[in-house]
Amino acid sequence: MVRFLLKRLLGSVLVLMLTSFLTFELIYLAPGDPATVILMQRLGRLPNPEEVARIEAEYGLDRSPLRQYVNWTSQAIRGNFGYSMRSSRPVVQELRTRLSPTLLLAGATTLFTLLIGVPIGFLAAIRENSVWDHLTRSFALLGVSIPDFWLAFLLILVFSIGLRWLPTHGLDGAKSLILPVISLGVANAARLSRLTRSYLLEVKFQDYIRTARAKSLQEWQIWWRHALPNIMIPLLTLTVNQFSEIAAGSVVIETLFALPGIGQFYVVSVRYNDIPVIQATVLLISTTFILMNLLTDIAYVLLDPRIRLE
Amino acid sequence: MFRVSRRVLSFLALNLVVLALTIACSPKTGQLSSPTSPATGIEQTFTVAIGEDVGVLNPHTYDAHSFVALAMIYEPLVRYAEDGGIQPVLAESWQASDDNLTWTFKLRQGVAFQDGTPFNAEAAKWNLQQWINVADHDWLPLSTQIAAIETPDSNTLVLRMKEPYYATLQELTLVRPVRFLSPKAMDGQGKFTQPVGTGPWKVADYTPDQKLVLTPSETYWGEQPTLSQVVLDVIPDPQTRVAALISQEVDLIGGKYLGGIPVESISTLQNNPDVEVLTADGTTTYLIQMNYRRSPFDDVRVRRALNYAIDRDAISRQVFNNLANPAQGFFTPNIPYVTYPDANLYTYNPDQARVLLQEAGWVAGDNGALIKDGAPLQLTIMIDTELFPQAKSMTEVVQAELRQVGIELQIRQVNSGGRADALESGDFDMTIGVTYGAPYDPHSSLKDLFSSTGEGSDHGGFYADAELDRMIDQVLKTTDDGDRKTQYSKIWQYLDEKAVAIPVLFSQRVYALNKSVQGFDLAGTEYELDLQGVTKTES
Repeated sequence: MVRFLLKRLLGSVLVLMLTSFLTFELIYLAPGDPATVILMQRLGRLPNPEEVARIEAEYGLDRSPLRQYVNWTSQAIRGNFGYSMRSSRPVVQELRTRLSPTLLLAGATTLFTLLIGVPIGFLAAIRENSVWDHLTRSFALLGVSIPDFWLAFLLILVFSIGLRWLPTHGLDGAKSLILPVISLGVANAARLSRLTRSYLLEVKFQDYIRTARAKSLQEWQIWWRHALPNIMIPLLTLTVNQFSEIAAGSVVIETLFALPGIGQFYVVSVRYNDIPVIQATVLLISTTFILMNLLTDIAYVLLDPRIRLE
Repeated sequence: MFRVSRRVLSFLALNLVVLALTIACSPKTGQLSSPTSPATGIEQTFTVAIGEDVGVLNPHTYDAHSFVALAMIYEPLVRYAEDGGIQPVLAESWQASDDNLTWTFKLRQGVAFQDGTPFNAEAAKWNLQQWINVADHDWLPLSTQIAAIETPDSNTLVLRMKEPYYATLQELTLVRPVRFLSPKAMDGQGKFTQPVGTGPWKVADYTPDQKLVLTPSETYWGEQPTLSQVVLDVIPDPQTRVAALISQEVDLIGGKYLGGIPVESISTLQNNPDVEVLTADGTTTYLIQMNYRRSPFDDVRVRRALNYAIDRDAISRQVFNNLANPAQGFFTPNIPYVTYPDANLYTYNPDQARVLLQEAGWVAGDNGALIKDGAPLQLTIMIDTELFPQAKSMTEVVQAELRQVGIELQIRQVNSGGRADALESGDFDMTIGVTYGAPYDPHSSLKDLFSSTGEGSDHGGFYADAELDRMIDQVLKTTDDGDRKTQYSKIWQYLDEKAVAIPVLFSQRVYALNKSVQGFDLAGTEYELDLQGVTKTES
């Protein structure tokens, strides 16, 4: 276990270094000189050469990209991610305030996905080829086909403008999360329900299910105690993947519902060409993915006694 | 019996841990107690949608993303009124010497910043020193024109100029970097700590990317606002802003510096019984700029022909739903000193365009496309939809109109970086530009877009010639109002004659507000929001 963790940690550091290096160099491939772009956003006009030179000196943009990367890395290791060009506030502070809305959204959406997707999948599998099966499969098809932003506008139209039950935007209590969670969660729940169904159908004819039947266990006991634990691994993998995706910042939904999270912040930062923020955000997103994958691997051991981490 | 497997339990536990973690990290959304208005004793919160976080509210830097928020907290010496006149604010009166080299301001007495620091000549001088002759602000002509700041007594401020500069008062109305901050709002190292002005509103609460809450300032020298609280609510998506207004979560949307209303949503809003759409003439002009250093734009006949070839009425109708007026000149009529020597000069006339192009050597080939020396007339227009949302639909109409006279126009969509690159290297044919509007114009856009020392022409080159440079330079130094009028009218005539750009539309200011709001008046410029007399009736 310890060896496994050490190996994974080393691998993670390498991945993070590679990601940050690629991001750094890609920024320079984008059109426009970074200092000019940031000044145009600030001043609303083309800056003169002296102004550009001042900004370049201030943020170290006058050095070679490789040199800048080395400087950035040596600072980043010490936890110093510099200052945002857009707000002049420390990048770490900026990201910290945006982390909780995003995590809240991701957590609530994951829960929603599980509560909707898994039971529907069960229903479809237990009553295979019944009306329920066809109904839930149509739901799944519809769910994955609807774009989240379109669903979001539809929900706003019905629940905010029509019925006035829920707010159109902002983060103010649980009520304000309902529409974003549904908009983000429906497609994921649909996918989860399809997977639950197909995995359950796979284990349906396994020996241990037949044994359970032979013991004359009740139907719900067979599904709940013998089928469900055996499909836990793929379900967990999918759930964690979904969580990481949303935790990496839902760009569209956060912007649409004015949720002050990582996704919305990232969009604005890219528009301003705010290099220190882009760098740190990409690093944060990669770290989230790596961390969640590591947690999944550890969870496998808890969920399946047959798995050992080596 | 019912016994849940350990594995299922641990899976559920993992989920619960994740949820618990997210809830633990969730921001505290404690309800802010809304205080009653000192003026009326009634609780009235007015919510305004803004497109972007307000940023750092220091009036002397460019870290704020909201002119409107700055203008509510900080005041200038003088204000720009809707008719282009100058009104007193922190200066009670002012006088210029006959040679326009000395400006004397009598400061309003009994004014204090929101932290209790008195506003006097010393505080005013400290503020001016933050931007006068400071390199960051040299784009602002006034910042380089002042030779000395004197404070003969505690309520007199004297500015000594290097040269006469007629737009002195006009530039003193600007929001940044000109407005007045409490000297105590800076720490020992000269670092900005908190927003403290003399204005009617002070910051009560701020959550980045969410909202800025403003309450009336008890120390304000003027009449107290009737509202008890103003919330600037960040809503980045334009459609969501419209939805938030219709569902009455916000009271006001629109305006260039709050967060625009999509053109396609205007009629929905107009048909909504709970919403009132307010429109007024704007002060900015949308122009198509031509790279005059390049062929074929180096030929005045081609520039004139393009002016004739564009149907401004059609663009106003089709692209802007009539919420922009066809331009008769380079500046809107509400900008000081603006006249139109011949308002109908460039009325849509494709025949005239063809004649002029033929004079310039462009003749129609077999398929109607114009050819000169075997090469077809192909032009490219560079657009940045981030900067100007209607650019794409507008250029598509222009494209169709130019095809009528035999010109093939290609649309090249770029982002801000691509635009900067092209302007700097001068590698572009045409692009869409916007004049600055009040209170900057006419002098700022004139100098930046059409002179050799301007910011625009420095790099890419929109238009400049020695004669125009001389005329602009001269008018800025005028000391007599009548003389200035005469000189400006000559400039307008010259701009028309040389067809230095294609003015397309005069903008409109469009706001939409909740019907329960009363007493809302548009401020003198789009950079400000005047909420002084606003009240809400409970619906």
